[in-house]
Amino acid sequence: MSTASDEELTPAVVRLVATLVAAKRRLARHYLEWCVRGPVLEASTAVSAMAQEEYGQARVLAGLLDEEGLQTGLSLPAPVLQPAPCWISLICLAALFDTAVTEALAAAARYSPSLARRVAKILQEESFHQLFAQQWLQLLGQEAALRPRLLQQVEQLRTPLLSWLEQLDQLLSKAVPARANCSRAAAAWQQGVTDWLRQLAPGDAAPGSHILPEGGS
Amino acid sequence: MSDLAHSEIYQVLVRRKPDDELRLIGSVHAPTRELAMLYATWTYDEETWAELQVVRRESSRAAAFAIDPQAGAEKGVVS
Repeated sequence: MSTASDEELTPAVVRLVATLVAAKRRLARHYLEWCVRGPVLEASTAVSAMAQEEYGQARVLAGLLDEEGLQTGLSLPAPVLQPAPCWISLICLAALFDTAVTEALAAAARYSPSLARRVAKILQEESFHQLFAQQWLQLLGQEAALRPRLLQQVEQLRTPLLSWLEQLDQLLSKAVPARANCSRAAAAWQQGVTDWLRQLAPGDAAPGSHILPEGGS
Repeated sequence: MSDLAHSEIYQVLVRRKPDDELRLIGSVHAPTRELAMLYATWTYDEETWAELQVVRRESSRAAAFAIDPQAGAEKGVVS
Protein backbone atom coordinates (compact mmCIF):
# COMPACT_ATOMS: atom_id res chain seq x y z
CA MET A 1 0.00 0.00 0.00
CA SER A 2 1.45 3.37 -0.98
CA THR A 3 0.88 6.17 1.46
CA ALA A 4 2.59 9.52 1.47
CA SER A 5 2.46 9.69 5.24
CA ASP A 6 3.84 7.81 8.20
CA GLU A 7 0.42 6.36 8.93
CA GLU A 8 -0.49 2.96 7.53
CA LEU A 9 -4.04 2.99 6.22
CA THR A 10 -5.99 -0.06 7.28
CA PRO A 11 -7.67 -2.16 4.56
CA ALA A 12 -11.06 -0.96 5.74
CA VAL A 13 -10.04 2.71 5.38
CA VAL A 14 -8.59 1.91 1.95
CA ARG A 15 -11.91 0.42 0.85
CA LEU A 16 -13.74 3.42 2.22
CA VAL A 17 -11.46 5.90 0.45
CA ALA A 18 -11.72 3.92 -2.80
CA THR A 19 -15.51 4.13 -2.55
CA LEU A 20 -15.32 7.88 -2.06
CA VAL A 21 -12.95 8.21 -5.04
CA ALA A 22 -15.49 6.39 -7.22
CA ALA A 23 -18.27 8.60 -5.86
CA LYS A 24 -16.35 11.78 -6.60
CA ARG A 25 -15.58 10.64 -10.14
CA ARG A 26 -19.27 9.92 -10.67
CA LEU A 27 -20.20 13.35 -9.29
CA ALA A 28 -17.63 15.01 -11.54
CA ARG A 29 -19.19 13.28 -14.51
CA HIS A 30 -22.65 14.52 -13.57
CA TYR A 31 -21.37 18.08 -13.27
CA LEU A 32 -19.37 17.74 -16.49
CA GLU A 33 -22.50 16.72 -18.38
CA TRP A 34 -24.14 19.97 -17.30
CA CYS A 35 -21.24 22.38 -17.59
CA VAL A 36 -22.62 23.92 -20.80
CA ARG A 37 -26.31 23.19 -20.19
CA GLY A 38 -27.10 25.21 -17.08
CA PRO A 39 -30.08 27.58 -17.03
CA VAL A 40 -27.75 30.61 -17.08
CA LEU A 41 -24.13 31.07 -18.08
CA GLU A 42 -23.02 31.65 -14.50
CA ALA A 43 -24.63 28.40 -13.34
CA SER A 44 -22.84 26.50 -16.11
CA THR A 45 -19.55 28.08 -15.09
CA ALA A 46 -20.19 27.08 -11.50
CA VAL A 47 -20.96 23.49 -12.44
CA SER A 48 -17.85 23.39 -14.61
CA ALA A 49 -15.74 24.54 -11.66
CA MET A 50 -17.40 21.94 -9.43
CA ALA A 51 -16.60 19.21 -11.95
CA GLN A 52 -12.95 20.20 -11.98
CA GLU A 53 -12.85 20.28 -8.20
CA GLU A 54 -14.47 16.84 -7.89
CA TYR A 55 -11.96 15.34 -10.34
CA GLY A 56 -9.12 17.05 -8.48
CA GLN A 57 -10.38 15.76 -5.15
CA ALA A 58 -10.72 12.23 -6.53
CA ARG A 59 -7.13 12.41 -7.72
CA VAL A 60 -5.90 13.61 -4.33
CA LEU A 61 -7.72 10.80 -2.54
CA ALA A 62 -6.61 8.22 -5.10
CA GLY A 63 -3.06 9.26 -4.27
CA LEU A 64 -3.54 7.47 -0.96
CA LEU A 65 -4.17 4.18 -2.74
CA ASP A 66 -2.32 1.90 -5.06
CA GLU A 67 -4.04 0.21 -8.00
CA GLU A 68 -5.15 -2.67 -5.86
CA GLY A 69 -6.59 -0.22 -3.36
CA LEU A 70 -8.83 1.33 -6.00
CA GLN A 71 -11.21 -1.61 -5.66
CA THR A 72 -14.17 -0.06 -3.95
CA GLY A 73 -15.59 -1.44 -0.74
CA LEU A 74 -19.10 -0.49 -1.71
CA SER A 75 -20.84 0.07 -5.01
CA LEU A 76 -22.61 3.34 -5.64
CA PRO A 77 -26.39 3.51 -5.22
CA ALA A 78 -28.23 2.91 -8.50
CA PRO A 79 -29.98 6.31 -8.78
CA VAL A 80 -26.68 8.21 -8.86
CA LEU A 81 -25.43 6.10 -11.76
CA GLN A 82 -28.15 7.43 -14.05
CA PRO A 83 -27.45 10.66 -15.97
CA ALA A 84 -29.25 13.70 -14.60
CA PRO A 85 -31.98 14.37 -17.18
CA CYS A 86 -32.77 17.92 -16.04
CA TRP A 87 -31.44 20.75 -13.93
CA ILE A 88 -33.64 19.73 -10.99
CA SER A 89 -32.05 16.27 -11.03
CA LEU A 90 -28.58 17.76 -11.04
CA ILE A 91 -29.36 20.06 -8.12
CA CYS A 92 -30.79 17.11 -6.19
CA LEU A 93 -27.58 15.17 -6.83
CA ALA A 94 -25.55 18.15 -5.63
CA ALA A 95 -27.76 18.63 -2.59
CA LEU A 96 -27.89 14.97 -1.56
CA PHE A 97 -25.19 12.88 -3.19
CA ASP A 98 -22.39 15.47 -3.02
CA THR A 99 -23.21 16.26 0.61
CA ALA A 100 -23.39 12.54 1.48
CA VAL A 101 -19.91 11.95 0.07
CA THR A 102 -18.58 14.98 1.94
CA GLU A 103 -20.16 13.82 5.19
CA ALA A 104 -18.57 10.38 4.83
CA LEU A 105 -15.19 11.89 3.99
CA ALA A 106 -15.32 14.28 6.96
CA ALA A 107 -16.29 11.40 9.26
CA ALA A 108 -13.41 9.24 8.01
CA ALA A 109 -10.93 12.10 8.28
CA ARG A 110 -11.72 12.54 11.98
CA TYR A 111 -10.17 9.14 12.61
CA SER A 112 -7.29 9.13 10.13
CA PRO A 113 -4.58 11.80 10.47
CA SER A 114 -3.17 11.16 6.99
CA LEU A 115 -6.64 11.50 5.50
CA ALA A 116 -7.31 14.63 7.55
CA ARG A 117 -4.20 16.30 6.13
CA ARG A 118 -5.43 15.70 2.61
CA VAL A 119 -9.08 16.63 3.03
CA ALA A 120 -8.80 20.09 4.59
CA LYS A 121 -8.85 21.82 1.18
CA ILE A 122 -11.45 19.37 -0.11
CA LEU A 123 -13.82 20.24 2.71
CA GLN A 124 -13.28 23.95 2.03
CA GLU A 125 -14.18 23.46 -1.63
CA GLU A 126 -17.14 21.34 -0.67
CA SER A 127 -18.55 24.11 1.52
CA PHE A 128 -18.97 26.11 -1.71
CA HIS A 129 -20.66 23.14 -3.42
CA GLN A 130 -23.04 22.87 -0.48
CA LEU A 131 -23.91 26.56 -0.61
CA PHE A 132 -24.54 26.30 -4.35
CA ALA A 133 -26.80 23.27 -3.86
CA GLN A 134 -28.65 24.83 -0.95
CA GLN A 135 -29.28 28.09 -2.81
CA TRP A 136 -30.56 26.34 -5.91
CA LEU A 137 -32.66 23.95 -3.85
CA GLN A 138 -34.36 26.94 -2.26
CA LEU A 139 -34.84 28.72 -5.58
CA LEU A 140 -36.43 25.64 -7.13
CA GLY A 141 -38.48 25.01 -4.00
CA GLN A 142 -40.03 28.47 -4.25
CA GLU A 143 -41.51 27.64 -7.64
CA ALA A 144 -44.98 26.20 -7.22
CA ALA A 145 -44.79 24.39 -10.55
CA LEU A 146 -41.38 22.84 -9.88
CA ARG A 147 -41.70 22.06 -6.19
CA PRO A 148 -43.55 18.71 -6.49
CA ARG A 149 -41.00 17.37 -8.94
CA LEU A 150 -38.16 18.63 -6.79
CA LEU A 151 -39.51 16.87 -3.72
CA GLN A 152 -40.14 13.71 -5.74
CA GLN A 153 -36.51 13.68 -6.94
CA VAL A 154 -35.28 14.30 -3.40
CA GLU A 155 -37.26 11.34 -2.11
CA GLN A 156 -35.98 9.10 -4.91
CA LEU A 157 -32.41 9.82 -3.86
CA ARG A 158 -32.85 10.11 -0.13
CA THR A 159 -33.57 6.51 0.86
CA PRO A 160 -30.87 4.79 -1.25
CA LEU A 161 -28.30 7.38 -0.21
CA LEU A 162 -29.16 6.97 3.46
CA SER A 163 -28.75 3.22 3.14
CA TRP A 164 -25.42 3.74 1.30
CA LEU A 165 -24.14 6.07 4.01
CA GLU A 166 -25.14 3.59 6.72
CA GLN A 167 -23.06 0.97 4.96
CA LEU A 168 -20.16 3.41 4.75
CA ASP A 169 -20.56 4.01 8.48
CA GLN A 170 -20.24 0.27 9.02
CA LEU A 171 -17.09 0.21 6.91
CA LEU A 172 -15.69 3.03 9.00
CA SER A 173 -16.60 1.30 12.23
CA LYS A 174 -14.67 -1.77 11.06
CA ALA A 175 -11.72 0.46 10.27
CA VAL A 176 -11.87 2.26 13.61
CA PRO A 177 -13.50 0.05 16.25
CA ALA A 178 -13.20 2.83 18.84
CA ARG A 179 -15.59 4.83 16.70
CA ALA A 180 -18.46 2.38 17.09
CA ASN A 181 -20.36 4.52 19.57
CA CYS A 182 -19.58 7.85 17.95
CA SER A 183 -21.84 9.98 15.81
CA ARG A 184 -22.55 8.59 12.37
CA ALA A 185 -22.19 10.24 8.99
CA ALA A 186 -25.62 8.93 7.98
CA ALA A 187 -27.34 10.58 10.93
CA ALA A 188 -25.55 13.89 10.40
CA TRP A 189 -26.37 13.86 6.69
CA GLN A 190 -30.00 13.02 7.27
CA GLN A 191 -30.31 15.87 9.76
CA GLY A 192 -28.70 18.28 7.28
CA VAL A 193 -31.03 17.25 4.46
CA THR A 194 -34.06 17.55 6.74
CA ASP A 195 -32.99 21.06 7.74
CA TRP A 196 -32.61 22.09 4.11
CA LEU A 197 -36.00 20.70 3.16
CA ARG A 198 -37.57 22.50 6.09
CA GLN A 199 -36.24 25.77 4.70
CA LEU A 200 -37.94 25.26 1.36
CA ALA A 201 -40.55 27.96 1.10
CA PRO A 202 -43.97 26.98 -0.19
CA GLY A 203 -44.18 27.98 -3.81
CA ASP A 204 -46.69 30.60 -4.82
CA ALA A 205 -44.89 32.29 -7.68
CA ALA A 206 -44.86 31.66 -11.38
CA PRO A 207 -42.22 29.19 -12.56
CA GLY A 208 -39.11 30.46 -14.26
CA SER A 209 -39.46 29.21 -17.82
CA HIS A 210 -35.69 29.28 -18.33
CA ILE A 211 -35.05 26.75 -15.62
CA LEU A 212 -35.64 23.54 -17.50
CA PRO A 213 -33.28 23.51 -20.45
CA GLU A 214 -32.73 20.55 -22.75
CA GLY A 215 -35.05 17.77 -21.91
CA GLY A 216 -36.08 19.26 -18.62
CA SER A 217 -39.80 19.05 -19.17
CA MET B 1 -41.77 37.78 -8.67
CA SER B 2 -39.83 34.76 -7.49
CA ASP B 3 -36.07 34.89 -6.93
CA LEU B 4 -35.64 32.38 -9.73
CA ALA B 5 -37.17 34.62 -12.36
CA HIS B 6 -35.63 37.77 -10.89
CA SER B 7 -31.91 37.78 -11.61
CA GLU B 8 -29.85 40.87 -10.87
CA ILE B 9 -26.49 42.17 -11.96
CA TYR B 10 -23.78 42.18 -9.32
CA GLN B 11 -20.51 44.00 -9.86
CA VAL B 12 -17.38 42.12 -8.84
CA LEU B 13 -14.65 44.03 -7.03
CA VAL B 14 -11.29 42.68 -5.93
CA ARG B 15 -8.08 43.53 -4.16
CA ARG B 16 -5.02 41.68 -5.41
CA LYS B 17 -3.13 42.51 -2.22
CA PRO B 18 -4.67 43.58 1.09
CA ASP B 19 -3.42 47.18 0.72
CA ASP B 20 -4.54 47.59 -2.91
CA GLU B 21 -7.52 49.70 -3.91
CA LEU B 22 -10.71 47.83 -4.72
CA ARG B 23 -10.87 47.30 -8.47
CA LEU B 24 -13.91 46.50 -10.60
CA ILE B 25 -13.16 43.43 -12.72
CA GLY B 26 -16.57 42.45 -14.09
CA SER B 27 -20.06 41.40 -13.22
CA VAL B 28 -22.29 38.36 -12.77
CA HIS B 29 -26.03 37.76 -13.03
CA ALA B 30 -27.52 36.03 -10.01
CA PRO B 31 -30.87 35.78 -8.21
CA THR B 32 -29.31 36.02 -4.73
CA ARG B 33 -26.25 37.62 -3.19
CA GLU B 34 -24.91 34.24 -2.05
CA LEU B 35 -25.06 32.83 -5.57
CA ALA B 36 -23.51 36.03 -6.91
CA MET B 37 -20.58 35.50 -4.55
CA LEU B 38 -20.18 31.88 -5.63
CA TYR B 39 -20.46 32.75 -9.33
CA ALA B 40 -17.92 35.55 -8.95
CA THR B 41 -15.51 33.28 -7.08
CA TRP B 42 -15.70 30.60 -9.75
CA THR B 43 -15.78 32.94 -12.76
CA TYR B 44 -12.99 35.32 -11.77
CA ASP B 45 -10.59 32.71 -10.45
CA GLU B 46 -7.60 33.69 -12.58
CA GLU B 47 -5.83 34.88 -9.43
CA THR B 48 -5.94 34.25 -5.72
CA TRP B 49 -7.46 37.52 -4.60
CA ALA B 50 -6.80 39.03 -1.20
CA GLU B 51 -10.44 40.12 -1.22
CA LEU B 52 -13.42 39.67 -3.52
CA GLN B 53 -16.72 41.48 -3.09
CA VAL B 54 -19.97 41.57 -4.97
CA VAL B 55 -22.17 44.68 -5.01
CA ARG B 56 -25.65 44.79 -6.49
CA ARG B 57 -25.41 47.24 -9.38
CA GLU B 58 -28.73 48.83 -8.50
CA SER B 59 -27.40 49.74 -5.08
CA SER B 60 -24.53 51.82 -6.47
CA ARG B 61 -25.10 55.48 -7.32
CA ALA B 62 -23.24 57.42 -9.96
CA ALA B 63 -22.01 60.97 -9.42
CA ALA B 64 -22.51 63.10 -12.57
CA PHE B 65 -20.52 66.30 -12.91
CA ALA B 66 -21.67 69.27 -14.97
CA ILE B 67 -20.29 72.75 -15.60
CA ASP B 68 -22.66 75.60 -14.81
CA PRO B 69 -21.98 78.17 -17.59
CA GLN B 70 -23.45 81.01 -15.49
CA ALA B 71 -21.28 80.46 -12.46
CA GLY B 72 -18.40 78.92 -14.39
CA ALA B 73 -17.97 76.42 -11.65
CA GLU B 74 -18.23 72.66 -11.54
CA LYS B 75 -21.10 71.20 -9.64
CA GLY B 76 -21.28 67.63 -8.55
CA VAL B 77 -24.67 66.01 -8.83
CA VAL B 78 -25.33 62.72 -7.17
CA SER B 79 -28.03 60.85 -9.00
